Amino acid sequence: MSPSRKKDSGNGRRRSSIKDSKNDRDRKNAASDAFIVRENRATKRSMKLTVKPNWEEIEEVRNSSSDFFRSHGFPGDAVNALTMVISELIENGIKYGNFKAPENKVTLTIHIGSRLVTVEVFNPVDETAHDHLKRLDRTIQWIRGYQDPFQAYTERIRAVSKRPLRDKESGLGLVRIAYEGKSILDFFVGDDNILNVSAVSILEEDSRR
Amino acid sequence: MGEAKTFTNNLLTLELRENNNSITIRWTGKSVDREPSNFITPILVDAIRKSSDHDKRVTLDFRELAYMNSSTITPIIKTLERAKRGKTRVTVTYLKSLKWQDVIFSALEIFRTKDGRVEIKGL
Repeated sequence: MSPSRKKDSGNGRRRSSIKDSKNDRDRKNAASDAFIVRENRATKRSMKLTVKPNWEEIEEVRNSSSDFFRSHGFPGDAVNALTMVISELIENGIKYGNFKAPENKVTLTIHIGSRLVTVEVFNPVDETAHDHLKRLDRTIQWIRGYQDPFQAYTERIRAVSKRPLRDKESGLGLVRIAYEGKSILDFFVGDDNILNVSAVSILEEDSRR
Repeated sequence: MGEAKTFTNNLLTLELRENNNSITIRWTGKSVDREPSNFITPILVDAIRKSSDHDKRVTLDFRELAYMNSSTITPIIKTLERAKRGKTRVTVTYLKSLKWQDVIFSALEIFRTKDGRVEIKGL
């Protein structure tokens, strides 16, 4: 995969990039690690799952994630929304990951902070994922172009609804995460060709009992 | 109510009931397949065709659906778009008190027609 970078949008959000420079990645990793360590020490509200790239595994992940959120006092609506986010990201990981090597798997991490829930899905990719990564980048930037994800969602369902019946491509997963899951999406690919897609949800007042 | 035909695939069941005036498809369970269109589209296409032939309203009742992935939304919105452009009468019913259903199905209002031929109802 050829390296490519995008300039910061200037709106305070981290922009997606197909491949980050080492310095940027180290900085992101450091920030991410610091967050994880802090959350682990303060609350131990983290979960990590390693998932075989089999479609049937996704239901197990959904159930485990739901149990995890419920055990931390999340009400049903928030559990449903966050589980949907996880489910869509794992589906993408399995669809577009490189699982030629038997040890290659999808990894899910969930971190519950005081105001944020961070979901990250990691999976190996190879050169065949290039188109997917470009589409991922384009879609995330496109979603960010809308102040209200509802508008992005309705625009996308309008467009998808007009495609032929035989066209099975949905293209709705990411925009659904932004709209229904109220999450900010991002991604990067490391030098080790591991794709990390993250979704950060801001907890509402009534999201925790 | 007429006799029910039940179609099941993985965790999803579609129960189709037809009577003199209407065809109702009740969705229960979870739609989680990689390509749910393979199962769902033929059932919806057949219902829409019958509805057109015999002037019956098709109701898609999602109130008992526990979960659906985004790939499931695709055949539903394609059906609604075709109904909107054609003459078919379609009603979508969902459970308004269930937030995920309210969020997803209320967005389908964009397919609603002014004459009530295509309607989206949160119950």
